[in-house]
Formats: sequence, C-alpha cells, structure tokens
Amino acid sequence: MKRRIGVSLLFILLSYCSVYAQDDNVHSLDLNPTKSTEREFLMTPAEKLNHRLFKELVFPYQFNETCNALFTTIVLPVRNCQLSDTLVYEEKCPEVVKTAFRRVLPILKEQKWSRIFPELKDKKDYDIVLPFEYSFQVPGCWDTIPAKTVKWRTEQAMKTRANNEIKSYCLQPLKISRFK
Amino acid sequence: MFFRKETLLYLAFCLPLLTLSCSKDDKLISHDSDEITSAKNWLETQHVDFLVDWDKAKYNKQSDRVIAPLIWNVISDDGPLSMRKLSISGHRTGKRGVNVVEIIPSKAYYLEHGNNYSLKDFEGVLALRGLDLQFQRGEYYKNGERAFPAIFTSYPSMEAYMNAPHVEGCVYTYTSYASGGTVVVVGTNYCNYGWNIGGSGGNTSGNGTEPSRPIEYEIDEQTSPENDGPATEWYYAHVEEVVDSLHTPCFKNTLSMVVNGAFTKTMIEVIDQVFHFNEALEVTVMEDQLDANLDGVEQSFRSGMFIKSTITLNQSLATASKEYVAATLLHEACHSYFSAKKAWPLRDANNVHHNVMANQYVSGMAGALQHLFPNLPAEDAINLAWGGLAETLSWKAMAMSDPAKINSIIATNNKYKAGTSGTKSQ
Repeated sequence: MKRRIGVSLLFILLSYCSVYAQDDNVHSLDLNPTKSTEREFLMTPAEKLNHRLFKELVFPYQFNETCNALFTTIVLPVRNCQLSDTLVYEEKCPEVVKTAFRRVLPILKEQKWSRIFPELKDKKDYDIVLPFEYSFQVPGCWDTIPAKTVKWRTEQAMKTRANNEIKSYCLQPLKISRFK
Repeated sequence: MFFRKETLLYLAFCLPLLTLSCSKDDKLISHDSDEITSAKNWLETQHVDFLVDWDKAKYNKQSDRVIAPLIWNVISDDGPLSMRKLSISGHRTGKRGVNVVEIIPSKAYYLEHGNNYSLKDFEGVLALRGLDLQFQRGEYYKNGERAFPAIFTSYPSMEAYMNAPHVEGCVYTYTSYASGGTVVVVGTNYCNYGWNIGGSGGNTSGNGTEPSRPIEYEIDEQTSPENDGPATEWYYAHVEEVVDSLHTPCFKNTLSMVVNGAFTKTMIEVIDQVFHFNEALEVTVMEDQLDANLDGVEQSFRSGMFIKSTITLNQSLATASKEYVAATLLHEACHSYFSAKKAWPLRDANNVHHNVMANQYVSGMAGALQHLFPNLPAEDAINLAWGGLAETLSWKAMAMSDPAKINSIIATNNKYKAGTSGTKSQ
C-alpha cells in the first residue's frame, strides 16, 4: 500500500512537473489565493468549481445521518450574464439541499461559466445544470447510487430541457459521499 | 425390509433423545449468563491478574467455553489492532482450563474488517498464550483456513522490529502494546515451511508440530451488518483550511484559541494536520442541536480526491466552560486526524479511534488544554481529556484498578460542562 501511495505521489509530482513545463505562463492563471493552489493548479475549471462547492457545502448533522442517498439536478439560470438569485430545484429536492446551495450562491455567482463552456463566451442567457449526488459509504450506513443511474437521470434532465428556448449546459456531477 | 425396520427402531430410540437434547440446549441458551458467572467465579479462584471485560463475555455452547475479551493496553499506530480473549473451558466436563487467545489480523484483513473478526474469511495469526502471557503456539490463517504455524518474537521497540533481518519469502506482521511504561512489539512471521518446523531464536516459541486442536472457534467477534456494501477504502489526506461555520461567540473564540494555540508535542501533529495548512482535507467546524448525550461529532466526506471533515459542536455547550468546549474540539480534531491520516479500518472506526486516543493522546490533549488555559489544574486537564472515552479498554481497566479516578473524571467533566468550573463562555 505504501508503494501505491509512493507511486501516486510520484505521479502527482510528475504531472505537476509536466504541466508546469508545458505552460510558462502558469503563474498568470487566476488561482484562488488559498492553500489549495497546488492541487487546484492541476484541475480543470469544472473540477475547481466542484472542489469549491464540496468545500463550502454544509449539511446538518441529522441529514448526514439519514443513510439515504440522493440524486438531484439543480438548474442555475443565467440571464443577461448574471446568475439569478433563485436556483431551480427538482420537486422532491430536500429543503436542506436547497439551504446548503443557497449558502454557496456567492461561489456560483463568481463563476465565469465560459471557462467551463467556452461556447458561452458571447452568450447572455443560458441555464447551467448541476447534477448532485450525495451518498453514504459508512459501514452500517451504506447507500450509494449506481453510476449508470446518475448518467441516465442526468440525460433525462437534459432531454426534458432540450426543446427549451434557452439552451442548457450540463456540468459534471458533483459527488459527495460520507465515509465516516 | 430389515433395513426399514431397523431405521424405524433407530428413530423410535433417537427421537426422544433428540427432544431431550433440544430441551437441554434450550436450557443452556437461557442460562448462558450462569455459565459466564460460573466461569468468572472459577477464574477468581485461580488468582490470575487479568482484567476481563465480562460485559462482553459469551458462552460458546459447541465448545463449552466462555470467551471474554481481555482489557489490555493494546496500541495501534499504523499496524493492526490485535485483540486478546480469555477462553475458559470445561464446565460440562468439570475439567476447567483457561487460555488466552490473541488475534492478530493481517493488515489487509484489519483494514477491511476492523475488529469484526469472523472465522469464515479470517486472515492473520491466532495465537495461544498461557496464563503467564507467554506464547504457546500460533497459527497463520488464510481465508479462514489454517495455513502455516506462526513464529513469535518480541522486540523492545518498533525500530527494533523494523530493523530486524527479515527472511525473504516469509510474511511478517506485528502487534504492539504498552507494558510497564514501554512499548513492546511482537512481530510474527509465517514462512511456508509446513507444520514440521522448529522454533527460531530470540524469544521464539513456535511449535514445530501440527496442533492437535485448531484455535479457530474462539475468534468470531460479531457478524457484520448485511448491507455494509463493499470494503471501504482508506485514505491519506492533508488538511487545507478550516471553514468556520460557527456563530456562537464562545465557540468561535475557543476554536480560534485551539487553532492558533501552540501545543504539546503530541498534539502538534494533530492540530497542524487538522486545523492548519496542507493539501487535500478541509475541516468545517459547525454547531447544531445534537442528542443530549453528544458534545460533538465528526463526520468525514470525500469528493473525488478531496477529503472533508465536519466537526459539529452541540449547541447545548453554549453554557459550558471554554475549557470543556476546547476539550471537545481537541477530541473531535483527533477523529478528523485519524480519519484522514491513519490507515485504520472504517468499520467500527469510532471505537478504534477512542481506544487509540485513550492509550496515546490523553496526556497530549491535557497538555494542550493547560497551554490554552494556564490556570487549569493538571488533574482537571487530564480529566477533561478523558471525556468521551468511557467505552475504551483503558477506561475499563481504570474503572477496575482505580474507581475513584473514574468518579473524579466524571465529576470534573460534569462541572466544566455545566459551566460551574472553568472559564465562563461569553
């Protein structure tokens, strides 16, 4: 196992070096001036967003004890280049999820969506769809959602929006699992 | 025809016996506690100096043995946490005997199962010790089957074990415990020599012949829940930053003290890793209304390669002293640290964490508390550091050897929790 960790560390180090070598302007990237810069440096903009959401999303203790996995999609409406204050949730989305996402609204508002979807550079009105999975991998409290279910439900969510006048763009799922 | 007649006769003879046998078994089931009490009483006549956890004793009808966990100072760092059980035999036959069975799982088995041992898939060493705790014999099990005899050697320290020459082709594992103020490491090796080998040097007591009776039926600890899912991976991670989601001023203030305080050597790593910078673990400290019996809880989450630990303080602690809040934060910080940094199993994680805290972190936490609160008496600091560790083996050992200390710990925690001692929250 130690060897596996060693190999992983070596891989991260090599990845770091190779990315660093490829881009001399790496220091000009808009990195979050926190201590996470080294890891965020290796991430895509979409991964960075998910990381920040993961970091800031807080669910109450009781919710973390339910042992009932959930999957939902959250729609982030952008109008005139501004993210709306009101996010759109699925009908059965638990109130704690809505509360948690209300708390991270500033992060979502700061996001430059064209960094994730370059085709949005010249667009003013669009919807961003965020698939969200919360699962439990705690011994005695185990409930997960199969990857194919996540995929299917995300596809369904996008299909229902396919004919909307305002185009939708789907983020990679934000997956959070409790393991202890 | 003859066969049929004989079968009928056989059945006519055996059925009543079977019924009698069943009723006897039923009687035994309903009197397991009598068997345990009888074993306990017999053991008292043997003048052995064991601390036995009689609350968790079980009677094994099949082997006519009472199996009870021993309370001892097992230590787990990154290695498997072994377990000792007392095995008292012979109530039905009237020939009493006692052995100590030590279960040393392989690291892989331990990571997957924790201390929920089961014979059907056990991998690791089962060892028999005598009443003097010297090894008598040991067996290495693979997939629940006896594979090789195991050899035992004691080392004075972990370094000595790590630096000892290891024979190529043999598999090594170890367990460690505190004895007379020093850490004793017991390394075991199992080489595929077959059963007919002799012992090796040092303190070895390997048995060269196939044991007449397998140790196997002694080991089952408890059945794992059915819906646990596959084995959970374990993680190494680092702490990145603390997200302070607290709003009670006392909590915010105490968290700031804990995060920014300088600490005793033992706690430096914990605090640095949990509350200070690094790469991949975030810690959120929040407050919520928890069950009355909980002062705080720690829950761990992951998303991709990131780990996040959430420490939740019970809002009821708003009236507790700052010392009590700080002790709770340190306790939960240890959970965060262990979850992220230690290669310990997630199954039964809280129990493992608490035992390690009780064995290795109490004085460190107490020192940290005294540093934060210079007027805090040393005894109170120690007593506060013991908070939340009442289910541990060390606590039970103390309850037997020094019950007054247990009362003192409980009284101190009650006073500081009620806010009648210590620094008032504001």
